[in-house]
Amino acid sequence: MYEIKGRLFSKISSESTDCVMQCLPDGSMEFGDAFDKVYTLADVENITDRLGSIPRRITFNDGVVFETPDNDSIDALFSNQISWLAKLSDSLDQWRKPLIFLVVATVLAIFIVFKYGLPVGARIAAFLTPDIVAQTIDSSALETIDSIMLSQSNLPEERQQAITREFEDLVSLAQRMNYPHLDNMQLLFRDGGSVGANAFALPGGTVIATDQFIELSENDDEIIAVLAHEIGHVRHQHSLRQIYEAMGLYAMFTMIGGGGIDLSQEVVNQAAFVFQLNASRDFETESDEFAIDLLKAGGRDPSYLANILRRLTKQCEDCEDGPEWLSTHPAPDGRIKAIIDKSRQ
Amino acid sequence: MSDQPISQNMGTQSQTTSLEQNPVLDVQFTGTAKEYFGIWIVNILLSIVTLGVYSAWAKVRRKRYFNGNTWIAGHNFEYHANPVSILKGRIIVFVLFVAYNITANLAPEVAGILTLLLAIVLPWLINKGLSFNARMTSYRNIRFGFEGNYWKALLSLVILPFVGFLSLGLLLPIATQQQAKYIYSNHSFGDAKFKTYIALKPLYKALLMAGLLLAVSLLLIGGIIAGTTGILAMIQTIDENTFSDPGEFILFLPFIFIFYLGIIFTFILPYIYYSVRSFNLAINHLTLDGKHKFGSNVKVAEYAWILVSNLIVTLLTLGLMAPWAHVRKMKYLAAHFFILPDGSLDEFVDRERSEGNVTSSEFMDLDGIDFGL
Repeated sequence: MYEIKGRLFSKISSESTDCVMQCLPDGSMEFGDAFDKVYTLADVENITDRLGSIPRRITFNDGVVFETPDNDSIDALFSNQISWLAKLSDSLDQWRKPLIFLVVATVLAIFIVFKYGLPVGARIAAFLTPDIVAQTIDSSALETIDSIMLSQSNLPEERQQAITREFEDLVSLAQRMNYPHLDNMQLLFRDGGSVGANAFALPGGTVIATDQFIELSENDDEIIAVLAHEIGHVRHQHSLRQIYEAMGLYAMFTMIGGGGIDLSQEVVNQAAFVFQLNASRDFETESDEFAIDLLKAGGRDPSYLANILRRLTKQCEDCEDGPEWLSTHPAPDGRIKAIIDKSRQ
Repeated sequence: MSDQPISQNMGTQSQTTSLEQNPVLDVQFTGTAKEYFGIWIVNILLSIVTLGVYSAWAKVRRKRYFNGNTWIAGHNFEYHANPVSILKGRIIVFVLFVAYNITANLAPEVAGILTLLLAIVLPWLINKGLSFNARMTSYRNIRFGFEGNYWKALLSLVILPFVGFLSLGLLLPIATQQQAKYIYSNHSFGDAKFKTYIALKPLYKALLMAGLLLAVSLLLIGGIIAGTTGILAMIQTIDENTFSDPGEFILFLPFIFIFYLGIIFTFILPYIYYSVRSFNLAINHLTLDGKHKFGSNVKVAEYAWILVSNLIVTLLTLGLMAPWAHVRKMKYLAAHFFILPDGSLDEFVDRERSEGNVTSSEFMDLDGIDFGL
C-alpha cells in the first residue's frame, strides 16, 4: 500500500483538507478520516503533467481534486494514466546532467531548419504561388519603388527599344528551352537616382534597368549578359523564395521567443531580416549559371557578365550613398572567377 | 470560519504580518532560472523538430510553470488549457493571417475592408481571449473568469486609446482609467468579483512625470544622434562585400545594438514609468468580493532596470539567458505584490461559466496584445 501526502478540494470550493491518500494494490484510493469516498482508477479524469517541482493534481470524475507535491509517487503509481508525450517532455526535462547536449541539439536543429528546411519550404511555397499573386506584387512593388527612389528614364526611345528587342529575343530563347515562370517578362527603364547603376528583377517577371547601368556598360553584350542573369532570378523564383524565407524565419523567431524574451523579441525579429541578406548569395550563383547557359545557347560569350560585374563592384566601392542592400549584384572575386571558369567550359 | 489560519504546509512559508488584525499575504515565486532553462530548451527543441506543432504544448508548459510556481498563502496557481485546442486556435489564426496577407497583396481595396472588419470584431476577440485565459487559470481549485461587453470593450480598449493618441497623450489618462476599470472589474474569482477604480488626478501626475522624462530623453537623443552619425556614415560606406565576410558582419552588430538601446532608453523609459504607475494605482484600488484588498509597490527605477538589463543580457548571450531574465522579472513582480485579506480565503465557490474562445486567445498571442505588466 502506497501513501501519498497531499490535500483534497471538494468540487467547487476553495477550502482544502490535508489528507493522506492510500493507494491499495487493487487500484482503489481512500482518504482515511478526511473523506469517506473510495475511488478506483476508472474514476480518475485527469492527472496534470509533471513540470519542474510544481504540485500535481488528480481530478476525479465527480469534480473532487487531490493535490500533492509528491511527483515521484504519482509517476510510479499512475504510469498508465500519463500520456507518452508528457513522459517524453518530462524525461528530456529531467535529463539534467549533459544539459549542454540539449543546447547543442537545439542549436543544431535551428541551424538545420535555417539552412535546409526554410529554403525547401520556400521553394515549395513559391512553386505553389499562382502567377497572379507574383504579378500583383510586381505592380505594387513598382509603385513603391517609383515613388521613393526611381524616376523617369532619360534614355532615348530608340535605345530603349533596341535593348528591349534583345531582351525579348533572350526571353523567347529561354522559353524555347522550356524554362518555367517566364510568361510575364517585361523590361523597364528608370533613372536610378541614388540607387545608381543597377538592374534587378521583381518576382512576377518585371526587370528594371537603370540609366546609370546602361551608361556604365561598354557594349550591348554586357547589358544582355546582365539581363540574362535577371531572367535567371525570375526563372528560379528567387524573389518569391526570399519573401517566403523571410516570412518563415520571422514565424520561427516569433514561435521560439514566445513569452520569454520581452523587449528583446522585437530586436530578434529585426535580426531575421538582416540575416536574410546573406542568403541571397546562393541565388546570385544560381542566376549566374542560368545566364551562362542561356548566353551560350544564344551563341554569345558569357564572360561579358564577369566584365560588367567587375565594373559594377568597383563603382560601388566609390559610391558615397545609396542602399547597397537593394543591389542584387555583390560580386566578390570568387563569384567573378566562377563565371569566367564556367564560361570557358 | 473567519480568521481561520491559512494552511501553510505546502510550498514555501508565507510571511504573515499583523496589520489591523489582518495578515498581509505575500506572493512567492518559486521558479528558478536553472529549472526553467531545462523546460525552455526542451520546448524550443521539440517545437523546431515538430515544425511548430509542439509550440502549443510548449505554451501550456510555460504558462503552467509560471502559474504553478506562484504561491499565495501556501497555494499555487494552475493553468488548465488543453494544448490540442490551443493548436487548433493557432492553426485558425495562422490560416486567417496568411489569407489576409494574400488578399492585401491581390486586392488592396478588399484588404481595407478586411482591416475595418477586424477593427469591428476586435473588441469581441479581446473579450473572448481574456475570457479564455481567465477561465484556464485557477487558484485553490477555483477558476478565474472574465465577462466582457462588446460596446464597453470597444469604447475603453479601441476608441479611447485612439482618442488618447490623437490628443497627443493629453487624454491618455482617461483611456488608462477606463481600460483598467474594464479589464480588472470584469474579472472574477469563482463567484466573487474584482473591482478597481483609479482617480484621474494621480494618472495625470504620472503622465506629467513621464512627459518630463521624455523631454530629458529627447535632449539625450540629440547626443545619441550626434554619436551615431559617424556610425551611420560607416554603415553607408560598408558595401555588400563586407556583409559577405562573416567576421566583419559581427563587428557591425554592436552598432545596431547601441542604436537600439538609444531608442529604447528614449521612448521605453517614459512608457515604463507611466505603465508601472498606472499598474500600481489599479492594484492598490483593487478589491475582491468587496472586502479583500490588494497592493503593489513596483518601483519604476528597479523595474526598468530589470527590463533593460534583461534585454542586454539576453541579447549578449544570443537568447540563452532568456529563461533567467523571465524568472528574474517574475520574482521581482511577485515580491512587490501583496494581498490584504479580510477573513478566510477558504470560502470562495466556483460556478459554471462559458469557457471563452481559444482562437481569440491565440489571436491575442500573435498580435502581441497584452495587458497589465
